[in-house]
Amino acid sequence: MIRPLDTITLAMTKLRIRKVRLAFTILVSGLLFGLLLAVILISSGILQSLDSFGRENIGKKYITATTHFGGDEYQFYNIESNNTIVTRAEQIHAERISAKKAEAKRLGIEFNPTEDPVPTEFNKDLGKKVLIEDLAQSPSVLQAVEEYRAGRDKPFDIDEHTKNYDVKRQLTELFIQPEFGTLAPMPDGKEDAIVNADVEQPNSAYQSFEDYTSSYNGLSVADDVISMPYAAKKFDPKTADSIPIIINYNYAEKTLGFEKLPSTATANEKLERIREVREKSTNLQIDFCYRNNESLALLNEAMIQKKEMNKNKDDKEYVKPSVIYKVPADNSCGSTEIISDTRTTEERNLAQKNEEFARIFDKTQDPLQLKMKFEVIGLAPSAQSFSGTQSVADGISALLASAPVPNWLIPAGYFQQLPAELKPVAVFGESATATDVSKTPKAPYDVHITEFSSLAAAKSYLEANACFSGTCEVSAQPHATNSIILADVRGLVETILLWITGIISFVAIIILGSMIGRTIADGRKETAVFRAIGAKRIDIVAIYSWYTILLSLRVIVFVALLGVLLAFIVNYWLSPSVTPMALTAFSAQDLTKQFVLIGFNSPYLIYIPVIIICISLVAMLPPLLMSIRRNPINDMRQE
Amino acid sequence: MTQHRRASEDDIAQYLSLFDKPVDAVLAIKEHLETRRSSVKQRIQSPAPDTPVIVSTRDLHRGYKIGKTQVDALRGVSIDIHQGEFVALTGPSGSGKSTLLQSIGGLDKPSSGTILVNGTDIAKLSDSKLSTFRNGTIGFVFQFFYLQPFLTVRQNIEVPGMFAGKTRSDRRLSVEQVAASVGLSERLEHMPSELSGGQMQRVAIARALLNQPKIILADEPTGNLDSANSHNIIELFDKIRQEFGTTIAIVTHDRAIASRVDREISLLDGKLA
Repeated sequence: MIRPLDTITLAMTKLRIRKVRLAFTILVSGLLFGLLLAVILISSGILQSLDSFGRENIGKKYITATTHFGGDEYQFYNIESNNTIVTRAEQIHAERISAKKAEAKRLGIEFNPTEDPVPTEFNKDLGKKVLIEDLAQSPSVLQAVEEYRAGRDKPFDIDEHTKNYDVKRQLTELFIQPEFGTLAPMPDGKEDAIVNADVEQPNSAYQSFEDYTSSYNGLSVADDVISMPYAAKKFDPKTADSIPIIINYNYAEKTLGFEKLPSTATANEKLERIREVREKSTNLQIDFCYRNNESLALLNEAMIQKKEMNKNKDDKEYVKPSVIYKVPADNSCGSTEIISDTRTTEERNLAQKNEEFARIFDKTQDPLQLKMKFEVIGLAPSAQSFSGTQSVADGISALLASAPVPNWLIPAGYFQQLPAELKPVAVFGESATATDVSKTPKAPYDVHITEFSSLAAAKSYLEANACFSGTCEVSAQPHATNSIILADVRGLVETILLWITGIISFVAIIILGSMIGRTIADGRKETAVFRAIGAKRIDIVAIYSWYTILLSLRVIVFVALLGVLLAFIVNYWLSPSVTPMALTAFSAQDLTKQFVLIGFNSPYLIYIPVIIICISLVAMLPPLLMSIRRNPINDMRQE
Repeated sequence: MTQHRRASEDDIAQYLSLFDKPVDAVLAIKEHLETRRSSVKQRIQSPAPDTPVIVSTRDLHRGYKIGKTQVDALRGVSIDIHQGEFVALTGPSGSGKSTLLQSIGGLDKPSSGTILVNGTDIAKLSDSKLSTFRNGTIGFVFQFFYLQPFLTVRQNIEVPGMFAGKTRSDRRLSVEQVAASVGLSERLEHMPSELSGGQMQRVAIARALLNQPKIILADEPTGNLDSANSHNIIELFDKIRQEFGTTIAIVTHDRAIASRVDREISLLDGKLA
């Protein structure tokens, strides 16, 4: 049999004929696979960069949030006609009215029972009494539902629920939602409620505050696993006089007085901005104002009075209120003081009795307002907006780095060590160890955060507990990190690449098959001569196999050059604009990090040359098998 | 033992047509004289060979179909060719001479009959063994040379050695020898396109000689050459036969060439004439 080197010598001669056809084949196949290679290099680069940026925070953790809805039986449409609750609500209401009447009589005040919200109404369709639609309006309904649940609710055991999965640990995340008031940041050190009250028409000042409020979605005391990766400076909770907090980038930028960069800003300007915001934000203090419902009501009253009096200051017939309140300074989070009280002693006594009456039945409290100092210790990603009109770079950033941290975070480890005076019960409740629990009767739910040991465990848990119907008992979704979504994106990319590879391979087989087939057909006479001078069929197969491999190698070289060139161009074009976005989206600590859109570690890079060689050999086989079965005499006669 | 046949009416008409033009007439007369001289010389110089028979066909038939027509290219041909003999297969187009040559060379399989070459019934050999047989026992020379245009003369001559699996150094030695025999030692590094037709046919002959075959089969080797080069090629075959003892069988239409071989085997309509 012919030796390999001799086979190559003879195969090489075939590459020197039909050069135009050869060049066309290499060009077309090369273009197809070159584009595929470019796509692979770019997607590999993006995934590699995402991995790299992910390591900057919690990107490599697999965390889910499981919302427990308490079962379908607590959905409004199921309890509104629940006879037990309806009957009990009416009973509570009757007792309440009677107690109120007795207390009003004791205090010597008037009480109109019809002003107390009724718990039920008649539903014509059902032909019976049902609970009022706005359950929270009636204390009697709330109490009845609570009693109903207390007897039936079994606490949701997340450990039990996740026991069949490889769970690393259960995490805590307490959404801070004061039970009887509101807690809000003070943009530029001011209470937005007061600032907004001075604004008659939305203007630039109002817009400015809207920018702030859209950057604030709430506050959570979050497990260190979730929060600490974003902490950029050390903090000593034991000697602290403020609460450590991780805020989002946009808010920090705004608070530090930076104007939003125009969309035409260069990559360097964006990077410089990130650097500045990062540096300066570690010295940033943000005040929060807590007001309980009574404090809010008084403040509201004061602001309405102020407006009214301003409006009527020239109206001599206008009668000022008997009690006039002073709106506190907008940067004080202060109490609403009375500046003028012209009420008679009798009127004051009546007011006092009414307050006492409300304290008993409506659980009203004394007004309470607290100005709380927070110290920024890190920045978390801002939510990315995505619309079709944005640039490709925006799209990549928004799609692949969707902000996983919607709330501002207080690291739980620090929070637990903070002095008690920094953790008022009115704001934080009795404990900061519970997960997010809302007891609104209409949609009772609790959220449990779980970290899994592996992506596979997290994915199988999510698949088993995803809820699409709206009537599930539990619903699980990725939380605090986009690692699971990115894994899906990676899977999707791989599926798409497989399809593209399949299609391109199919087209390439046709092109290469046609080209190689023609070459073999053209070489029939030569094959016949080789057979005449002693070549075996296997020798002819070897020659054409090597010819095909050599042709494939040329295609591979062209593919490599074209693919790498295209990927480099895309990287050169997009990397500068995606990098700043990725740095903010991932809150990367290392600002020298580049989001590179070209990567060479995809296994597909090995597959491409193998695929090219394989499909070329496959394309070669049919014409070659037909050719070597022919009688050489026939081919030599065709002169 | 020279075999002769009677000229057919067509042959006579074709021959006489040469006398329509004066120049052709002179050439025809010269050729006739040359043939006669050669024939006399042959009869004197080449007695019936007493060497062993190297090629023997018996009742050889070969038929094939062209469209719906059955063509019987060979119809019971039985011949013997002796070792070291230089024979010419002649006959009009379609007489079956090329088919006979290719059958002897193992390129074509007979429909029936036997072909013993060097004692082997090649009709019974497998494709692979036939290839080995062709490579080692037969050297083919074609009318159109069939050289590889992108290989040097040296590489072209080496090709049968490649298929024999010989090492490069072994081939190099053989190439030097056969190139010297055909007078191409100075042209080994040239490309085929740099050679004349005669030189290209010499390269093809050298290629056929590389594996030192017992038989050279040449299918109209001078068909593409002028008379001077044709003469030289026949001289070269004669020289090879003398030098290597190789049996040579050529297919030719050329009467002058046929007259210069040891024996002419004429075919007509697939049979010996």
